[in-house]
Amino acid sequence: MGKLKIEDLDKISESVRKRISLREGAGKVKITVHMGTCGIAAGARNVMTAFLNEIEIHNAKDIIVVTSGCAGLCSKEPMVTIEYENQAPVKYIELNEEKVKKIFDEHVLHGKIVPEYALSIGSERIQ
Amino acid sequence: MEDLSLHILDIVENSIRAGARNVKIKIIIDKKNDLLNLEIEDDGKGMTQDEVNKIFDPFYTGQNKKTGLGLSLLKDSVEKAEGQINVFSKVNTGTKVVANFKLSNPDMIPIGDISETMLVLAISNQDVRFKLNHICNGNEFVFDTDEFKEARNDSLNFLKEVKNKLENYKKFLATIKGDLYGI
Repeated sequence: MGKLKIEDLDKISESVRKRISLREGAGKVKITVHMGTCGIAAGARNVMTAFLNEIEIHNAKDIIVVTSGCAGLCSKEPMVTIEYENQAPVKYIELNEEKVKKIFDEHVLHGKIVPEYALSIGSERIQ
Repeated sequence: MEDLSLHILDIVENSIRAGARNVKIKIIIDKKNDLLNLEIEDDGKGMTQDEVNKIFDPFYTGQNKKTGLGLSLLKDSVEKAEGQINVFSKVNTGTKVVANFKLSNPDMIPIGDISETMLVLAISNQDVRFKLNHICNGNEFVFDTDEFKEARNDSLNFLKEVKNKLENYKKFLATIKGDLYGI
């Protein structure tokens, strides 16, 4: 391994800060939009911009939005995973802008899971 | 994929998964020569020549849980529009995808909403620098996420500043629309 430079340490520090910010309360909710080829083709970009619009409308400051690759369930795309502080992650499937509004109002803002759009909570499958 | 902006999102997501911290996207519309050139360059982990040789094979992927269809779908869109695509890569240095399309070809894919693609990339990867240069017949628009460095500690403010800049990009796109053969 080569010598670490100050810039390398800054990068590591930034990435760790992001990872632990949710745990420490800087971000109350983490929204992961699955943005693999299958997700993009199914409309994941519109789902993500719908979440960003809701964040702006509600002036919500404690929300982290990230993307990830394919979750392995291409036929259920677009999918997102919501991690609300102190709760198990919830995977929502086959999303559209209307469903995003409901999930944002109920789960992201108030921690109330929307079971009709959810596939699983933690490792438990709902349907 | 419905349009070019979704292809760009897909290819750049690959760059991110390959550890890129800097991604440059260049779109050049050259009406005189009837060409649209697209270049996407990253400083990710790069690929060996053996991996590059397989990159357009459907379902080939260097990562777990990937469909391996992204580049083969882009190649398909390029070839339908009588274009060419090349990938240059070097391990530990990065990868460059270069594609061109014949603008007047009836099968030319629509450009789509590149401002939405840039919004999604910038917001979900705030530690990555994205630079977009969109050039059309001598007019150029530059979007560089380094401009918003100061706003990174306040994610809501960052979102508002990026959206504001991309509104200007939409205005730029509206002014060049007449140069795009209706795409």
